[in-house]
Amino acid sequence: MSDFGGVLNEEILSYIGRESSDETVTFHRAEMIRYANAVTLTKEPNPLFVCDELAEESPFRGIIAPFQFYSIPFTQMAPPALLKEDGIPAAGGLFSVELPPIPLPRTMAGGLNIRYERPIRDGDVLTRRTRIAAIVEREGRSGPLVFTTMETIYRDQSGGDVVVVQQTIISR
Amino acid sequence: MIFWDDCVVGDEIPVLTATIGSAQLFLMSAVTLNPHRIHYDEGWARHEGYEERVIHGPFHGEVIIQTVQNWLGSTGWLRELEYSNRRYAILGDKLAGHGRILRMYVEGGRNLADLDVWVENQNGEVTAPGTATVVLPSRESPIQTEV
Repeated sequence: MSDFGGVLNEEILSYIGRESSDETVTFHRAEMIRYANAVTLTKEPNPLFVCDELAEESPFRGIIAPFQFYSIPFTQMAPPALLKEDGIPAAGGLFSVELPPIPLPRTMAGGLNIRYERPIRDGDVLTRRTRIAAIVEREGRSGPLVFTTMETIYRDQSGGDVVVVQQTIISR
Repeated sequence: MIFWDDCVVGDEIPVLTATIGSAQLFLMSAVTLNPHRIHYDEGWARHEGYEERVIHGPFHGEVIIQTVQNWLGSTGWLRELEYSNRRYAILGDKLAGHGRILRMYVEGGRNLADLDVWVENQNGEVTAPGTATVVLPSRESPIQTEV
């Protein structure tokens, strides 16, 4: 048994702080409105996302992106030949940073934390970078659990933070 | 319009219920470019052990978000949300978004409230618990412009 606990070792912990390269995209109102219409659970989406006139009169002074829209324009599409039988791309996961080789058989999604510093608007050019923020082991009821937390920061043209997203993957 | 002045810790916000149909399930896959077959191929979903096509994890987030935004209208702002997907839902399930004010405080001159938020299915089981932080207008300053 090492000093690191059950399954963590120096190599795994060396992944903390590793970063993806930067990706930059421009946000467009048409795509924001399309998303708002697709996911709305009420008859019409909140006017802040789709209606210029009403949004202009709001404190936001114009339409803003729906809350979970921030990652959509960054989405890649794999050619069908590169999808596994279940439809998930064979290579290239959800994160653009390489995940640590944790020697546990199963992974599941943990918590997701999304914090906005300001709303996203039409024409924003956002650059994102993902960093492995933490790798923590805890003892679960049926053995070790490893929590790997990825932090993705979305910055605007002037370098200011717009959205900070933390997503945890649980290995068990 | 919701004002900070009218809110009290412990208040529950109006429940939003939703039964997501197969067309909307398809639209979610489409707008997120998500090719995972469990969301649109019933045979494949059964093959993976589900009774029906599976509602996307982020859709539980949408139930929470839209519950909060329905309450906020177009003057308050949902600033932060944390949630976890604890239990899956399938086509035909009825999901209900809930929220309760946990804490109210002023920070950087803005009126903030933290809410306990969660999604329940038709059996009263929680599919996604979470916490939200919102910026609320007050009667004295109905426009919190620094958003």
